[in-house]
Amino acid sequence: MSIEIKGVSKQFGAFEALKDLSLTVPTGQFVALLGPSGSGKTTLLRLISGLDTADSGVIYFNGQDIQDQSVRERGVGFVFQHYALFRHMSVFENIAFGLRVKPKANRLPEEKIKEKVMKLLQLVQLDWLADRFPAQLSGGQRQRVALARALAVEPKVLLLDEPFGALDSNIRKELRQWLRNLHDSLGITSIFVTHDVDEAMEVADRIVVMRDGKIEQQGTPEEVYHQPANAFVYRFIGNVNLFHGRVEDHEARFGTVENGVQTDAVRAYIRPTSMKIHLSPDETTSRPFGATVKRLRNHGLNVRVELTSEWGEVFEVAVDPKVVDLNRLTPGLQVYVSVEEDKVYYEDFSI
Amino acid sequence: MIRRLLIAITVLFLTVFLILPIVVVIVSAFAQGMATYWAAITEPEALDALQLTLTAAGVAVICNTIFGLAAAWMITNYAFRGKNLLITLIDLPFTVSPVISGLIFVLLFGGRSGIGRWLIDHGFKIIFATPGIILATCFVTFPFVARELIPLMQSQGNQEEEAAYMLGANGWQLFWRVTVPKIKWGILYGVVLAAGRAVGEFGAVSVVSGHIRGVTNTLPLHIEILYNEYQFSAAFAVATILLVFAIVTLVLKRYLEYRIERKVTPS
Repeated sequence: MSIEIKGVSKQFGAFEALKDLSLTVPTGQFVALLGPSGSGKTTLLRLISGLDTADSGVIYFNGQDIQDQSVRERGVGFVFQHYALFRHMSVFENIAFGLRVKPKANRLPEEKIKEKVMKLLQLVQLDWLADRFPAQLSGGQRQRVALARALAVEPKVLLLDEPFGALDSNIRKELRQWLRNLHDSLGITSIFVTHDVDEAMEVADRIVVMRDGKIEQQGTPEEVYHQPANAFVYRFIGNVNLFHGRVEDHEARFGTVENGVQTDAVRAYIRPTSMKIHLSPDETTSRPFGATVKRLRNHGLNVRVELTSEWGEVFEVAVDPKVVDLNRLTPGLQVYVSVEEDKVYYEDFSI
Repeated sequence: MIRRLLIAITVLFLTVFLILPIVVVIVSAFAQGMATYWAAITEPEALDALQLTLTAAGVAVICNTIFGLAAAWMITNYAFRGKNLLITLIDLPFTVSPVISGLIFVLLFGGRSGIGRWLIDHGFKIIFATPGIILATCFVTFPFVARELIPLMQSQGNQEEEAAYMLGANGWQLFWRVTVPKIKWGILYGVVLAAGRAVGEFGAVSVVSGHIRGVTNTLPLHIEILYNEYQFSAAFAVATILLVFAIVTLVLKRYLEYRIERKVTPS
């Protein structure tokens, strides 16, 4: 089922959670809503689910306004961050709930319900826990039960609100991959909310980056990473170094002030991977700047060198130990740093 | 040493204020033999008083449960103006003296007020009649269920209800299959406390009753009348009925506390 969101706004008191937001999700896609807390991603998910209603704007499922549809007609499965399992029901009854509350006319007979629940339990690999109660399960197991419960009513859209937010990082990584495989085998349109960049990168077909109730950028993980639309997206997706500078003669300047006139402020964001360290200025054709090695940080495969620029700003450069001889980069060493100019993002604070 | 002293103080206190009175009640009740005891608790006026007490308590508990659920549901699921004022107002009957509560109803529904006049002219007698007693009992007990449910429902949140809604449950299914099982022990706890208080209520009921024997007398009022007529044995005999209610309430209360504790920290 395709989802189309047109000009949706939502306000909580004086706080504008969503501002005239539009988004289209084609059938079968796995989309991540990514953003810092307070960016409106969960609000958007709740509007799509029908748990909340928009102040203005329309949401269409397959071209039909969901406002006119009952929850059953919409066919939305929702997975909550804190599972929201029915604590007084067994795992089996939790999953069967959606089947049991159907009107008598289209409710399945008891043995069919049983069959279906067991099938779902096998799908989430928890058939051996059918008689347990939610309090007796681990976090990862609970979330899989919650997922099976949402899938029981055969939704055409699956919405997940920070589904792994409350789990340990190991289980998180495992469940991510599992969820991606599950999505591929079921093929239902899925939207999930996360503030974890790695999670979005790994799982989603498309990432929608949000800030302050607006979409900053949407695209494939590669697009968002390599062609960020603006400084915010660049900064949010992956590590960046921040440099403070000025605008002089319509050009951003950092470091030494040439004519002594301080004008407008500008910020530049540069990824540690977009810079190179040279031992002499002749090694590069671009204009390098001087820096001093502060210390080395070894994270296994990648090594980060912390440096101080000649004008006093601290930044990091990622180096490949196969290319650069780490033994020569001793603290206090004077080096030269070149920058891939097309990977620098400027944020202009001039008014 | 300190430990022994503390134990001694506790035992002494419990003896003087709890055990001795109970013993006195029981001993006095049976002082003139089993026959007198039996006569006192089976005489028509005593039975009428018992019936009225149970009726008033029953109606009060039902009203209480409905009001408590509605108030708790509203407070936990909706944001509205005056929410805190409502929470404060729910406690009002606990802070107002029961006699004042009774007087409120006399002033509101008695012959001197407009509403009271109109009701009496149309054949509804509230003050010095059963409805007045029920009203007064409801008033002094109505915070119990609400006060029990509001913190319980607030701590549990409404995510399970939202999940049920997303799975296609209608309001009725949602309430009975998700909300009620979550809060049933809390409801029962509030009901037991409310019933205990309703059965023993004296002040408010005394003001609106008019003390018409066999008509508007509840058990506590009946005991007072017997006592004032120097029928001590009979008075204490009837008092043992209230004592039984009190013990049953206490046992139920303890059991429910145990169940609620288990709910909060599952094994």
